[in-house]
Amino acid sequence: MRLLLLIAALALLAPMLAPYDPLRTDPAVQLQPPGAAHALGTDLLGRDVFSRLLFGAQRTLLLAVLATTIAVLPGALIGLGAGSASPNLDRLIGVLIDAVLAFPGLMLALVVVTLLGSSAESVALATGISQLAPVARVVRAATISVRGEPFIEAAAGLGAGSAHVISRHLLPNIAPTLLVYTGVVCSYSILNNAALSFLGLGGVPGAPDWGVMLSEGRQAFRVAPWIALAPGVAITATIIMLNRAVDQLDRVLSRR
Amino acid sequence: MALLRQVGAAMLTLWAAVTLAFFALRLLPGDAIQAQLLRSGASAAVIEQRRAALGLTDPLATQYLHYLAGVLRGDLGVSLIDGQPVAAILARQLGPTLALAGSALLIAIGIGVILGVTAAQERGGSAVVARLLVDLALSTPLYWTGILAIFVFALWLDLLPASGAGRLDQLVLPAAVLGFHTAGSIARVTQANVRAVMVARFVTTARAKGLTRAVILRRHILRVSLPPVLAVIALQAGFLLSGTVITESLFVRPGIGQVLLTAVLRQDYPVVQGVAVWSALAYTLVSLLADAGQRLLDPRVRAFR
Repeated sequence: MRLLLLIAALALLAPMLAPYDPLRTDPAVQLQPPGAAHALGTDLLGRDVFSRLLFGAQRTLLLAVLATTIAVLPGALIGLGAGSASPNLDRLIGVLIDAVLAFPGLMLALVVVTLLGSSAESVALATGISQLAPVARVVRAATISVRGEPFIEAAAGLGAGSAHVISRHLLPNIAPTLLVYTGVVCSYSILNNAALSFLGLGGVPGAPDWGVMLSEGRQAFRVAPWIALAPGVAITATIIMLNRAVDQLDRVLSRR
Repeated sequence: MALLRQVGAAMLTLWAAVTLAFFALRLLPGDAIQAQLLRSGASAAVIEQRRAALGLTDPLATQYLHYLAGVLRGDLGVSLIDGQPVAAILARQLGPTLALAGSALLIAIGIGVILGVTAAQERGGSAVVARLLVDLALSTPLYWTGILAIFVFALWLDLLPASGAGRLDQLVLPAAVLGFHTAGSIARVTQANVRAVMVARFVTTARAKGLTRAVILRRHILRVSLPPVLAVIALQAGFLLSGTVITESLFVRPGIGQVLLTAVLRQDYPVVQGVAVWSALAYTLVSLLADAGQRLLDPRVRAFR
C-alpha cells in the first residue's frame, strides 16, 4: 500500500522531479546507456528515459483511474439494478451480461478504440467499456446473495421503500466486494491500456506512455535494452503493488 | 434434465451474443467500402451501388434475419475488402490458433495447478517461491514477457525461432509465454480453493486416520478443490481460442487474433462479426464442457442442482 502511494506521489510530482522534458529529442545523446547525465539512459531520439518514465507514470495512473471509473460506476449501477429488479428483468439483464462476457475484453476494447479513433482518452474509454460487463456480473451476484437475507425482508416489511433498501441496506453490504473488484479492474486497466498503446492505438506516437515506450524499446532491444526495461519493470512493479494492496483490502474487509 | 437446461441456456447466450455483435457493429459509422472507395475517389452513387449489391442498404431487420439464417448454415457473409467468405478466412487461421491455444492451455494448466497447490502450503521455501511466481505471472504483461523471451531465447542464446508458424520449434516460445501468463489466474484460484479445503473437517479426519500427505492431497483435497479451477480454465480456454492478438503480433504468427486486428483497422465489419461469432461459440462450448466436467468430478454439484 505504501509503495503504491509512493508511485502515485512520483507520478504527481513528475513535472518537478523529471530532469528533462520527456518530449525533447536530442540527436547528440542518442541511445546513451544509463549514466550520470541520464540515470536510465536515452532512447533512439535522445529523449531521457527516466523523465519519460515519470511522466508515463502520471499518464498511466490517470488513464487507469479514468478507465476504472468508466467501468465501475455504470457497471455497479447495472448490477445493483438487475439484482434488485423484478425476476424477469433480472434474468434478461443476466442473459445480456453473459452475452457480452462471451467476447474477450481486448476484442471489445479494439472495436471501441477504432470507433472512437486512436487517442489516449479513447483507449481508456475502450478499456473501461470492456470491463463493464464483468463488474455488472460481480455486483449482480453480490446483490442476489444479499437480497435474500432476513434483514432486507425485515426492512421491506417495516415499510421501507426500495430506494431506501438499496441505498441503506444493499449497498453497504456489497460495498466490500465492489471495492475489492474495483482494485482488480484498476490493475486490468493498466495492463489493457498499455496493451492497446503497445499495438499502436494510443494516439500520439511520441507520448510518454509505458506501453508506447515498450513498443519503441522493443525495436532497439538488442542495442539498448534499457529503453524497454524501464517501462516493463515499472508496469510489473505497479501491478504487483496494486494486487498486494487489493489482497490486503480484501483481508481487512472480510475480517470485519 | 439439468444438462438439457444447461444446453438451452448456452444456446440463449450464444444467440444473444450474435445478436449483440450484429447490432453493435451496424451502429458504427462508416464501413470498409466507404473508406476504400472514397479514397479511390468514387462517386457517392457508385458507393451506394456496391453497398446495395452486398445487401448493406436493406432494412436492418431483413439484414439481421438474413445473417442469422446464414450463421445457422455456417455462412458468415463475405469480407468487404476482397469478397472472400468470412467462414473460409477463419477456417484458414484455425490451425495456427488451435495449435497455439491448445499448447498454451496445456502448459498453463500444468504450471498453474502445480504453482497453486505449492503456493497454498502454509510453510516452506517452495511455497514462497511459488507465491512469487504466481505474482509475476499475474502482473507481468504478456508483451513484456514476450519481449524478454524473444531477447533471451532467440537473439541471445539463439535456441529458438522468434517468429513464424507451422513448425514445432516455432510454437515453443509463444506457447510458453502465453502459457505462463495464463497460468497466473489458474494458480490463483487453485491456491484459494486448496487453502479453503485444507482446513475442512474431512481433511483433519483423513490426517487422523494416518493417511500420507500425498494421498490426502490427491484423493481428498484436489478432488474437491479442482471443480472451481475447471471454470477458470474454461474461461481462459475461451479467450485463447478467440485469438491472442498480442502474442500473435509479437511472434509474427498468423491466427484469429491477427484476422481480428486487421479487420478492425480496415473497418471490415463482416470479418469482425465473424470473429465475434466464433468467440461466442468457443466460449459457450467450453463453458458447457466445463460444467459437465464439474458434474463428473464433484458429486456435490450433481446433488445440488
